[in-house]
Amino acid sequence: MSSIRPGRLGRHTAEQLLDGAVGDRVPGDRHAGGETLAGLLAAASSPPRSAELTGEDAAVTAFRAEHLVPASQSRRGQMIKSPLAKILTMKVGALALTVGAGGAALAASTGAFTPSAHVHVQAAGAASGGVSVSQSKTGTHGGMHVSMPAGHTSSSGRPGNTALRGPLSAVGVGKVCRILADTAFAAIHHVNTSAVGVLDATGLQSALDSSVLGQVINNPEFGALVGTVENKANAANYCGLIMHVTRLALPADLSSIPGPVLTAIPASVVSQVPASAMSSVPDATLGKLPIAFVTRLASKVLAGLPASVLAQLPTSVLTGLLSQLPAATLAQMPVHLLTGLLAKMPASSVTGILGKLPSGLLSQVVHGLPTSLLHGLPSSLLSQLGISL
Amino acid sequence: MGQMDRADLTVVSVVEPAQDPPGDRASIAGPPRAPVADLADAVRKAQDGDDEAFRLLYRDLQPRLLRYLRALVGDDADDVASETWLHIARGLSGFQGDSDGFRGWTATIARNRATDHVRHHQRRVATVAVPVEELTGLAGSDDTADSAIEGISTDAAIALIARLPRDQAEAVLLRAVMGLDAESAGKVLGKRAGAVRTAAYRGLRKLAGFLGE
Repeated sequence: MSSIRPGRLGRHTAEQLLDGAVGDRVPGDRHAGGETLAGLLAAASSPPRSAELTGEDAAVTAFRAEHLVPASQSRRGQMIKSPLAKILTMKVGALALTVGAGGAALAASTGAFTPSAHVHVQAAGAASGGVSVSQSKTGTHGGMHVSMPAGHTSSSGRPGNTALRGPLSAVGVGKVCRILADTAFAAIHHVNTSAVGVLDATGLQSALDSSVLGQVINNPEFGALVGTVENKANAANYCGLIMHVTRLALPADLSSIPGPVLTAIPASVVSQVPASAMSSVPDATLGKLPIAFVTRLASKVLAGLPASVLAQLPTSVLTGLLSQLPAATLAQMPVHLLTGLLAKMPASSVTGILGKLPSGLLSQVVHGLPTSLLHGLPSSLLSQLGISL
Repeated sequence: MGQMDRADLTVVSVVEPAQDPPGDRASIAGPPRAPVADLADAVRKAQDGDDEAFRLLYRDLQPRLLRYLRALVGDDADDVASETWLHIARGLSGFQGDSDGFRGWTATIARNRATDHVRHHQRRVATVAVPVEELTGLAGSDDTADSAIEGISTDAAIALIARLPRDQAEAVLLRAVMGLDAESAGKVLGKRAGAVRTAAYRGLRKLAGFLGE
């Protein structure tokens, strides 16, 4: 009943079909299944469908965590399977149990990575340089050695974090934060970390918020992260910031992250911090954050900050932001600040902002504006305020 | 590992393709195939940390990887694809090569993830036990209109290819869906190009048989 006889399909036609080189029909193969096969292969390789792209944001999140510094700095050592990466293959339970005995015992008991595996944080790396995560048999890397010495057991039963401290670059922290979240997530769900996959925003959030994080972070492998942000509680907040979660684990503690650490986060990362993450931070805490960090937040995040925090920002930042601020925030701003900012703006922008001010404040502000600017304002507004030029 | 369950492979009374009226062949070449774009520029930019370039790579490759993985791990393809992207993100900086090389590299990662996945879960991959006539009759509701005209959806096409013996299915998918040439596909599979050509050829013959025996 069908004219298609599979035995007639030639090798050449097959290659053409696989190359997608078959146009409207297959020459000489009208009855060899060529066209039906072409339809089948075309359907198999049809353009992307939206349902196939739902993981895009999660993949980009993973990408960002890996590429927080320019590639020239981050390429070093990336292809080497790191001890950190190997944690992913480790049972979390085993990991928690052996933490007290230090890195070497951890390695020996799990067999998941070799005792010779060490994490080196290069001294030259500091806050902006590269971090080399590598395997080394000798430990004679030029950099600072941050893995636990073999056989070391701390008296407190916890890893001696002072021995593990070392500055991590942004790319190093990005990687470690992701591994931290993966490990915590795996612990919450009682699965092997290798089964976690790429966590989406919700997954990251639940991992960083979980009480398990406090245990997981005791692993010596996270010592460098803890050292960088000074304490364990800070790690959750800091990782939340750089992984763009919507709600920080401990927003009230944000200001306890060392200022230089916050300031060292690249602008490209700070600008991705979601508004919701910052809106959960108490005003008092916001007021203590380094200005260099705050000014690099996205303008829509800035627009949600209280006037008391905005008043600290450089006028260059505020001038660009003023039109976006809600009326309630504008109304809370000091008159002199508002007047000073408006005086630097074109009359057309000033009119829109003035329209959002309550009448009492409006009158005060307008009277403080230079005459040259007043000339550009609508006469109706001026006459309403009893100003004649 | 990952051998497909062949038990339900009985292909019965294949319907004659509805889109096969004689004399009207020029207009039925099938839906447009996703062009194999040159990704070299996007790869370089992504290596320098460019989010948007990474998105471009994702949008081009994810559907291909997902379809390839569908044949390797069935319904777990989404999970394995997610894991594949985690590894791509991690290894991207160290990748060296051209656009074809990049496609092959991602396919290799996907294949390794699938192998690990199957080993870890110690289970055989369930293939869809839908009769071929249903597959060929399925005009995918989520597909493009062009695809619907052809009468076979992308999912149905992949499901049909997944019924081939593993080596043939992989050869066909790497060639036609991942857009690799025989040499690149051979690198992914650890085979010589000639072996890939033969496997793909046999796969196509078998597919033609499914469609119109």
